[in-house]
Amino acid sequence: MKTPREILFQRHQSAEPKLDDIRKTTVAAVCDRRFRSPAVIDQCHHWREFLISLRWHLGGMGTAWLAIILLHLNVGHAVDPASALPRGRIPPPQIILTALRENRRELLEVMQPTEVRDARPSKLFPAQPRSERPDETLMA
Amino acid sequence: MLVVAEREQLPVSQARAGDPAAWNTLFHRYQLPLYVYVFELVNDEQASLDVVQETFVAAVRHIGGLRDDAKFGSWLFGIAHQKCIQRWRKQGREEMLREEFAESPDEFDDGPDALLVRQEQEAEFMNLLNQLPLPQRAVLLLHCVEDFSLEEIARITHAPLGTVKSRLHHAKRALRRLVLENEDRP
Repeated sequence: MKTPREILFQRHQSAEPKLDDIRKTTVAAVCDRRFRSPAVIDQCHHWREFLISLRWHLGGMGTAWLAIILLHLNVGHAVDPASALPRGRIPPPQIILTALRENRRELLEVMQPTEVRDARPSKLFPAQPRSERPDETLMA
Repeated sequence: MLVVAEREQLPVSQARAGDPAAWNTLFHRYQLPLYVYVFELVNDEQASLDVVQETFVAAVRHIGGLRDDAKFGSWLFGIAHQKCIQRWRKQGREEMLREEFAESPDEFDDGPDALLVRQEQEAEFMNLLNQLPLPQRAVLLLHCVEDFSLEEIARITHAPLGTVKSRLHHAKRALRRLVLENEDRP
């Protein structure tokens, strides 16, 4: 008595030498780099297709970045006051310091009378407890 | 006796890394079962050898697509099955592939070795196998040759599990009938 598997294998046992040849050929091809190269080529092809499909997106992004960089450069030049003025027109630091001191003195002169007026105590509302206040205040 | 593929320690990971010795081991393990399966479907020696070679080449090229190393056997048979289908399509035998069975199957508790064929029945067994419709034959061969589970056979043949059960049921019933008829003979 035999199983179906045994019957089938016995029937095709004669094909083993040919199958051995096929196996050896395929294994030899595994060692050969040329055999495996299609897989690498396939991968490269997939990457290339992927990048090509994104070409418009990448192009747009690249243009946007270029525009941003150019605008940034232009704005940077406009804002810098030192670069806008000619080098010979900048006054020396001593003159700038003198001008600042003069400016401060003028400001103090303008502010001083107000400060004195504000420093005097108010007659209407003296800062005393109610019991110590004079009678005229109560009368009023 | 042939050991079930999934229980074996096969060097699939080494083969994945491109080790020729590992590929040699794997191909040596599967060359005869693959050939038996393909030959019984195609019934042409040269075409069967071509399919086996094409299957080996495809396995080397697409080993990266194999997710589970333990399923190498069923994956390899799946490639061979697809190659057979391509050949049938070229021969205009698609209508045979679409054959379906509406009958509900019985339970399949027995393994492929449950059916035993006497020596004098071997020729009849082969005749019966060749008379079976292609879908039934494919399912029975996968069950007998490699003891694949119903789920694995469904994956290999790209058929629903219920269809696979039905096909295997019909094929086994036909085989049992043959065995019983021969036993009744004096």
